[in-house]
Amino acid sequence: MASIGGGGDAGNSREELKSQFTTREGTYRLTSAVEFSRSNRSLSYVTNNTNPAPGTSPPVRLSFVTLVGSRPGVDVAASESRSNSPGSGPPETSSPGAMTPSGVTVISNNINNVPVNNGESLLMSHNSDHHDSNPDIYSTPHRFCVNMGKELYVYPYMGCRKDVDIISKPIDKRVYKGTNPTCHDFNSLAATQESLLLVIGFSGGQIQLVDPISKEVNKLFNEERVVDKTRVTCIRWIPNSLTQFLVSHGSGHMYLYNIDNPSGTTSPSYQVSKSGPSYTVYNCKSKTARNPVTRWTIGDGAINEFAFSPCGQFLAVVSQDGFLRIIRYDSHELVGITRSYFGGLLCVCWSPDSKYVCVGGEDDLVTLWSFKEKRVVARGQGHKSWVSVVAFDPFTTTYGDIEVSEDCAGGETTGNCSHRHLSNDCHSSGVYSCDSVTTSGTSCANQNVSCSSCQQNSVSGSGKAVLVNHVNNNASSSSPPPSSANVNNCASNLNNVNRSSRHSRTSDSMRLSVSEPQTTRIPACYRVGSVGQDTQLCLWDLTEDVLKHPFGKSRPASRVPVSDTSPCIVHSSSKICNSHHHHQNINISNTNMPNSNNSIVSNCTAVCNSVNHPSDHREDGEGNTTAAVNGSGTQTATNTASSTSSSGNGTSSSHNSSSGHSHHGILSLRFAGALGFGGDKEKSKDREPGKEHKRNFSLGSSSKTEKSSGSGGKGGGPAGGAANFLASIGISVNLDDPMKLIGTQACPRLDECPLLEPLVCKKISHERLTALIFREESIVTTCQDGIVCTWARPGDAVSQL
Amino acid sequence: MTEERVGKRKTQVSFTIRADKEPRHHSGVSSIKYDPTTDRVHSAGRDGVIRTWSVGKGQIRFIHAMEHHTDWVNDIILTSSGKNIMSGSNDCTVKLWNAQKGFCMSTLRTHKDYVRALAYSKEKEMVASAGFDRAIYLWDVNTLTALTATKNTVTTAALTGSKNSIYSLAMSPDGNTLVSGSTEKVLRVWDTRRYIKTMKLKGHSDNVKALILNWDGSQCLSGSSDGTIKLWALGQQQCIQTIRCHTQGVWALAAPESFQFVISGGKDCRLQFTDLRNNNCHSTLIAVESHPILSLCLSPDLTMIWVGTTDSTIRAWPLPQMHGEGYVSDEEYAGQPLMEIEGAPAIKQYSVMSDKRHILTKDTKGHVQLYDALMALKVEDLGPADFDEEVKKRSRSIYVPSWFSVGLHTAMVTIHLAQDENDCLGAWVSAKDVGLIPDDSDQDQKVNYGRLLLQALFEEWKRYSVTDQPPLDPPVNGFFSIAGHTPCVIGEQGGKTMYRFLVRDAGGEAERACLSEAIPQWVAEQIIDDGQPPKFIKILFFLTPHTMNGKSLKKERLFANDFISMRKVMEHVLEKMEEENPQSTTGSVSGAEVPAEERVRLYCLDTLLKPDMDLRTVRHMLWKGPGDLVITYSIIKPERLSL
Amino acid sequence: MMYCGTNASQLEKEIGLEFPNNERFFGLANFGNTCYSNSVLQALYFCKPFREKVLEYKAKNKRPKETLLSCLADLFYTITTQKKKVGSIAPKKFIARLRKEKEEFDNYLQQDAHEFLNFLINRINEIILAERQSQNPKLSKPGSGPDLNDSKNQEPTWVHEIFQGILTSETRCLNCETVSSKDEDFLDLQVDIDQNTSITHCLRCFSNMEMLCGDNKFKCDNCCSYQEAQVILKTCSLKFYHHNDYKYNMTKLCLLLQKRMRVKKLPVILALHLKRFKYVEQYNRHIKVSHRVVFPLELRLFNTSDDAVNPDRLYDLVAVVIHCGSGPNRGHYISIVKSHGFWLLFDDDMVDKIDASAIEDFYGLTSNVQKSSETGYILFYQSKDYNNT
Repeated sequence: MASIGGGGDAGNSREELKSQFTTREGTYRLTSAVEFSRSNRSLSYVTNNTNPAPGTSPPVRLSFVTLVGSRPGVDVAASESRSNSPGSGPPETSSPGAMTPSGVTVISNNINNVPVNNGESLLMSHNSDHHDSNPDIYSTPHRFCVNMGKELYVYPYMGCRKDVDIISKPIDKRVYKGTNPTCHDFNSLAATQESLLLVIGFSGGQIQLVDPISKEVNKLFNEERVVDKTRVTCIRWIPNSLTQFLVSHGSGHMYLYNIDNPSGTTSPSYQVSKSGPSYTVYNCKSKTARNPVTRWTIGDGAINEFAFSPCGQFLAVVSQDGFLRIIRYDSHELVGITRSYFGGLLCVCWSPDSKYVCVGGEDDLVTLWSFKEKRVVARGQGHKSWVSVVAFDPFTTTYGDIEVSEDCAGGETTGNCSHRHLSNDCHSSGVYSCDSVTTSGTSCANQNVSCSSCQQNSVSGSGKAVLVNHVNNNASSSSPPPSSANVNNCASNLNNVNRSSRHSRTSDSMRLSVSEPQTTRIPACYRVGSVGQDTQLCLWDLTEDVLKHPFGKSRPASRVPVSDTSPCIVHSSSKICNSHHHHQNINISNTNMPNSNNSIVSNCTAVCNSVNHPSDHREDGEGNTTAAVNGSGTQTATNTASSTSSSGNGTSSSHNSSSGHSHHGILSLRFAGALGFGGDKEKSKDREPGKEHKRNFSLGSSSKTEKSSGSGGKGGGPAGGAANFLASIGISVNLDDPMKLIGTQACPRLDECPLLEPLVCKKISHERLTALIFREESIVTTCQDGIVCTWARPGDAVSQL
Repeated sequence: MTEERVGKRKTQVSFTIRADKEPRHHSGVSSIKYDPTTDRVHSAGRDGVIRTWSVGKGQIRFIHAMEHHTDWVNDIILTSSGKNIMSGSNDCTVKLWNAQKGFCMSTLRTHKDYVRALAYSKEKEMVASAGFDRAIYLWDVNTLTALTATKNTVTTAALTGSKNSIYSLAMSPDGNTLVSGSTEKVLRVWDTRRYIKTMKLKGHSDNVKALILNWDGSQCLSGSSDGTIKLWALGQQQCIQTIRCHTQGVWALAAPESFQFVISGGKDCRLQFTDLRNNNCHSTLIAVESHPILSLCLSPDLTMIWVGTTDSTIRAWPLPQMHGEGYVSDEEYAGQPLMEIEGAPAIKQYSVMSDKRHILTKDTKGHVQLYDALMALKVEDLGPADFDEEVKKRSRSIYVPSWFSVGLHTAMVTIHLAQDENDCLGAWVSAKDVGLIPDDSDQDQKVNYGRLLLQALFEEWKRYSVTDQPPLDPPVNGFFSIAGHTPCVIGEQGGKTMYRFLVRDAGGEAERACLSEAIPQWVAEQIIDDGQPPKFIKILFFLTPHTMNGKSLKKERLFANDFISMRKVMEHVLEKMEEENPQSTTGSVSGAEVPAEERVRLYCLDTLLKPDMDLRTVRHMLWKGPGDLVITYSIIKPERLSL
Repeated sequence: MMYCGTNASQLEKEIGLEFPNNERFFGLANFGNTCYSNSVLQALYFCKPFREKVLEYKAKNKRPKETLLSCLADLFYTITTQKKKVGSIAPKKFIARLRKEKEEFDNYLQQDAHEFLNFLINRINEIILAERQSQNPKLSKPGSGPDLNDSKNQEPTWVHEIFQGILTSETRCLNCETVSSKDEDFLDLQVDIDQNTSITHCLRCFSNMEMLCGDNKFKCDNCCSYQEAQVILKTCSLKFYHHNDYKYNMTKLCLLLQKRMRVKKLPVILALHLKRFKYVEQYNRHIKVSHRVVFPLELRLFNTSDDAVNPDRLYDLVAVVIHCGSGPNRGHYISIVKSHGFWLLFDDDMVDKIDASAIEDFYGLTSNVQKSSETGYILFYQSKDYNNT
């Protein structure tokens, strides 16, 4: 018999928890840890809990929302002070005494004991102080919801600047009986001081819609469990919708609900509307509108989480069967697939630029999948147990000219993300104001692209984004600022942003070399965070050199350049700088680029685009209406239905199969080469933009018969050809046999893609971690014990110490 | 696994069998430095020697060898505009040399383990040293060169906090930034003014073995055992480029201060040239060496690169030259080296003969040599022979206890004498048997190998040890002396060197003083006191009559010196028989004249024992197993004898 | 001797139409603390490769001498030939034989399930080897051509083919980066566990990498010198024999392997024993370590050796022996098994269908407080491609 050591001593006393950690941008410090569970445990209703084992109660999750139209003066002021005094450190606006010297404050929660109301099917009780009595709700525009066992709370979020005492008064508190809340989501469009829309999923499969402030809304869906009896695993509002939300269940089904539709009393009947490899979409067969609107059957086993891409176009779904599936939401087409090394995938998130999807699962790995290349580009190994949440940190991520070499570019291009998430970021939906930031190098050669979405559920749609964005960006102003102002703003910032922006988070003590050509170019670096059952928080830096690593075992690469020319998209992005508060992007050198596309757009089908580089999108959205009209042609009808967009450019949602759209198509270089443009490219060291675009265009027109999910290299393959699609991404086998997937780009062997170690790996809890949210000023984590921790970013906490 | 040794390690005496002059490297060349003022190349060898060559005008001329290290020299640095050399070695010391004249100026013994890497700041005249003891020390060269016999203390600043052994170092020219690479897989960046670590750079997945910083310390190149080279922007604390042009570990890097290109080499023997001026990082193969590449050194005009490998030959290869936009190398590779400093073969294999005195070795050229450990000399060069065949040819069924161990770490034969599992004083032999006394000599005596050797090694010391009398005449041990150029080392077993001297120098005044301190007690006892020779080794065994059914009737328990011959045992049997049974022998008149071996047969496990076999040979060659040796005997009846 | 458990018909109803043909779900009666045996037997019964071999043995040996194996074969055969689909059965003969064969089990005390598994597997192997020898008497004759003898006699039994693997410890000189390795065979892996980890992590355990440095440097033959080295000790580099190509010899195993007389293959059944009973000097007894260690339903091994034949092999969790209680010698063993896509819980004579999500209950406790827990103790992972080969 052989014995394998497992490391630590079994009887060890508890490891010490970390209250700070250091990355290259500085030191993150725990500023507050608010525990919801312990103080409540003494309450009598908890003893009624029939299911007290922590192992079986649903994970504690967090939902954040930022009120629309009530841009907090505090926040704006704070961020402005930061951005205007670059590098000067933390804001001045912090409240005194926000943090105890220890950095950890546990506040007892003095909520009254509330008797359980037995009258409803979802038995629950309510307790909320009248919000007038809670002054905090006026001092912060942020709200968050947390579920713990049978309880659900809504609180104002004070961040790391506010004294945590205030958390003791929830806006709303609910206690359920017989079923536990498992997940929840605020509608970010409808978030105001007076009203919030919160959907809650339950362990019994039920769904509730409530307004935790006005209390005027209280609807139940799947109340009799006729739709699905299994637990709700994930619930999200459809981007930019006030009425529709999507729910996934342990059964492997997802359902689309419309809050205006009545729930049928009988079991719904369905008809197939779309099917593909291992997934089927059904419409609900009913004479009158009823819920659910549609049902999705995906894979084999529970759906564990799903996430809309920041551009609102795509849905990433992870399941217990170990697969990540990327589905174009409006057309229900499968456009990407990958698999865990083994075991179920538990969590998923998109990069802020919609280019990468990150998943975590039972293989203890954090896996990064490139949408464009349709392959796993890196894995992170550092967790000691299952990974429960992954999230990109948009505030520390920098966007370089990530481009892949010909070798590894996916054979086809899919995706049609006509709007940059950066413009339609959470501002438009009001989820969370992110007055961030872009930093641009003096030479404009670097691209610190501003980020945007701070939560993965804060997706918002498409067309209207640009203008809505303006509105929000200017706080209460409803008219967009003139472009020239932006230009000026941008220009004036050019000289110092790079160095100073807190978002570049470069340590002040570090020298920035400007003498060497390489150093002025800040390479792309995506920051991913993950938390797991191992009670550890890991941060990962996915740098350009990793992302460019070609598929396959390392081999001698002499005379084979790692990457060759940078395609147009890179070029254009490299010329963009972003203004600080306005999220407009001033296209300095390439303003004619969209035009060059426009002229050809009409000839193109929607094939030749992919998830676009965010800055590229921004460009045309900002300065060039024509481009925007064409460029945003492929929008989801449902998404935009509720949009009150004044821009008009994004809502021209004809179906993507017919609407032209190629203005910034990123072409697979391999494809291009096959069509005879490879030679062109080879010598294009000058990176002349027009040339590049011409090439792209030609490709687009040559493949116009294809639908967007069609396979690339096959030329003229039928629309929606699943086999073609799979073949195009290197999967020619039956998905039922995961053994055959190993070694493909969808599931490389461990030595076939880079295996990274975490930048930071800290044990921060005694219980398994269940939530991780990157906010502008902080990182928020939660564990199964219900302790919500706020980690102040470097600079934010220092002044308070 | 090896158990952890507690307390102070035992002291051993070692010496290397070599020629008086060894102008060529015997083993890998771990560091090369070019001195542009004199057009000299200094190369540090794993044979423990730093050698200097004049290479001007394409002519290679050996200048001198700097021999003082007792183990691999891992790194050298040229300081003070070429006047001095600093070196770090596996002998745990850092040494400062006069580069022009080639003598050792001082030895720094601050490190507690192998010194693996050095780094140098031109502007500050500061050298950093680091190694397996995880500490980095900073040395001020100007202070070190000013040291005199009286003013001989030097202070150093230490950078501590590394969690693993350090394998590589780099310092910016201004001396403010220091980077260390280790098995921790991260690059640690230090601020040498504040003595703190400023950052850790993560990205490599294995040991970091080579580092260089650019002219202003803003960028760093690292080569790792994971096979990659990474370019780091220290300002961003970020890797900005990963170059994958090697299939195995990258062990050496060279780049001009501007970092326009980098040359790399490593385990895969490939010499790669990578253009760093744009993001493509185009790599070109410029040469394939015959052995893994250990060290690289650019010529000042950037036209060629000196390459040291695990083999002893140093080659200079032409570099691609700038032509318009890019670098062009005339021939892609397979070009001929421009210059070559030929090395000598390294001894890679040895076998100690059964006489425990002669050693057969095989070197990297396949040549087989025979060494005599006792006399500390090479006996014979057998040329390209079959090593295993030669070993077989020389193996004899005798057993002599092991009394030394052999080390090949300097690619030459080093003999270690210690008191461990191979007790230096454990081998007693007959002086006649081993040829120390002529065969026809009447007298014989038992000699102890270790004792003889120690006396020969310290002959000069002993000759002058009694100062008020005229020196003793060699050979002091009565049999032989050892070549005076033989380097002899007193040091901890497998570790630090305490004292190194040449056999001929041991009588000098300074050496005598040092030796008196360094010499271990057990060695001194064998030389000075002349009193207690080492004890004989005794073996316990049983003697029992041979019976047909295998069951022994009675056993006689005996205790004897391990070198007694079977003849003696036979005689003992006869004596005993006569005592017990006097009448049986009286019948044979000629009993006394008949040699014992014709009257008694001895067996061990059914094997007939020859009369001149000794007891320890029987014990080890025949009995083998554990438990006490049993020897059975049978008497050959006199009647049969008379036939 | 046979009776229907009270829950039997209910179980049948619950499974309903999905009830697989030719499958029986029978509980095993407890003869006084024999749950350690019952739980392991159920787990092994639902390890298909093992069950098939045992039934094959039954079919081939009509009138065998009574051995532990024959009793086990009878028991398995009895279960498979039951008319009813569910119920319970009393493994009387098997337990009697077990008590006869090993005195440690000849009492009514609680035993360690892993020790029992270990004993059972090894004993079955011995029985097969003994019978092989007696069927082929010339093989047992001493001195009749040792080569032939070895190759025939030492051919692996099906027990080896199913369970046996090899661990490698690799030593890598940090100077020349040359790797040397040593192998060690095993039938199951005993895994040290740590709080809030996964079984994957426990197997991977980088923490076990030992650095030979300082006074313990490694004498590298290549460098002819003492150098630092990394030893990846007992990492889960699993290498498995291919039965056609190797000669099995306990004592010379390592030697043979180093001569490359092996073709490596991952095991069919990977049995992982979580070391949950730990001796604590302070209490002078073994205590139970209830650490939460999650185990996925699907497993692929990290760190398989580079030269393994099938390093990509994916495993499915098929059975778990669960220890309930607070210490090694008190408490109870049950097992959960996967059969035809659903999970069943066997608690002596009781059989229940459970939801796969209920497996979460057996991961362990996150708090380090000493208390009773129901925790996975032995995990049986079966290769996904078993049926394909």
